[in-house]
Amino acid sequence: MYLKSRTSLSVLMVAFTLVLGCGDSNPGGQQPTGETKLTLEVTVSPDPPTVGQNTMTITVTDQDGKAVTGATITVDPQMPMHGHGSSEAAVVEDQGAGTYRAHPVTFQMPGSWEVTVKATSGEVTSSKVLTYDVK
Amino acid sequence: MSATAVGVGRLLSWERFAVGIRTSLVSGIGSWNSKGAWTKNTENYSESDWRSELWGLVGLGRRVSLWLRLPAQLNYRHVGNLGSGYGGGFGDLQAGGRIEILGIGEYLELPAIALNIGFTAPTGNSIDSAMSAGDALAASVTGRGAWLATVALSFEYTRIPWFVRLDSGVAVAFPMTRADTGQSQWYGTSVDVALVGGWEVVSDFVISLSVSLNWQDDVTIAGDKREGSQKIDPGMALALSWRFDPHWTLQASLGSWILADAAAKNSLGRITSTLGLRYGFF
Repeated sequence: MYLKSRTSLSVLMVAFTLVLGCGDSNPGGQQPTGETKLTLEVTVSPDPPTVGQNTMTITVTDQDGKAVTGATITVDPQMPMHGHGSSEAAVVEDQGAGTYRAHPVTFQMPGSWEVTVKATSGEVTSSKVLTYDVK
Repeated sequence: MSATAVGVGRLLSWERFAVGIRTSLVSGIGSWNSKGAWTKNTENYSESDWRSELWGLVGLGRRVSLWLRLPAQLNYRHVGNLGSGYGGGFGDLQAGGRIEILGIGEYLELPAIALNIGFTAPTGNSIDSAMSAGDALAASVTGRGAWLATVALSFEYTRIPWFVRLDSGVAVAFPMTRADTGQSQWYGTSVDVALVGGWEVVSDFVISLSVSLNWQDDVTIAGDKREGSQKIDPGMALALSWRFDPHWTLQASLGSWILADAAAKNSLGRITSTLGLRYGFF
């Protein structure tokens, strides 16, 4: 009876290990990475922006601080209080090393504007909303 | 005297119909942002609109009249390094009916009360349509792009030679689809209040002063109510009217507001000068 108990215990231990093993997708024992995120730094020229055409420079880095190249960038200025957006669509150029240039970023009237800058790289999208009092 | 003193007004009790034309020069001076801070336009930006309107009133019996307003405008814009240009066209058509619940002088010491129900049709060129058509200056904008339903009450008390009137109304916008983004957009409900006082200086010559306030709730874009987009737009105007003929009235007015911080919010500061001519048939 002692032998049967030891055998039963061993079977249980193996089963327990197998259950644990099924939950671990990394058999090497490394911890899985956290959610990927992009960081956007945005500057505008002139600063502060004025009515008419302006230029934005966007720098995109990943959570390790490495420059992200080949991202898809959109720049969307809106004037919510008037219910309209910009009169021109900004064209974004990839200038390499994680830097992108958007022009023209057009504010066709003075007042409070919100600009949403969005960056997509692979499956990851991050965005930043900037507000300007344009004169 | 109050029927023809300010704006389109109403029919005189002996008139069967009236028609008129009003023409205004609207000059942009500056704007208030979402926090109510006033900024005068710089040399980078200027706007001027010439707005004209044909209107008509027709009586249906003693208490009911119908009205129609057909606006058109020509706009000038100068926008920084975008340049300058003109644009314009027909505006948003407005129509409705007025019901005299209590007529002027019907009951001594009681004010006249009238109910006004109307609608605005998006027959003008909205700003989102102008954007999607490539109008970078937005000079061709002549309308809001949304249907509106309005209900208003008017209380008027007259004791010759002066009168006082209180107008109050609510306008509800219907959702629209933006031509530039394809998103749904819903302008907030707006409330209008105006107080007008007038004095018949000499026979058939009236001076009026009005103070008004328009408040509009936040706009909703793609289901997201945009906090901080509320609008507060006050105004005041001095008006003159001269009925130089039993059928004809000449009108003039000058309007603006206090161009300073905290006087308005999310609004444009303008000076509006208007000339009008009215013909009443009886």
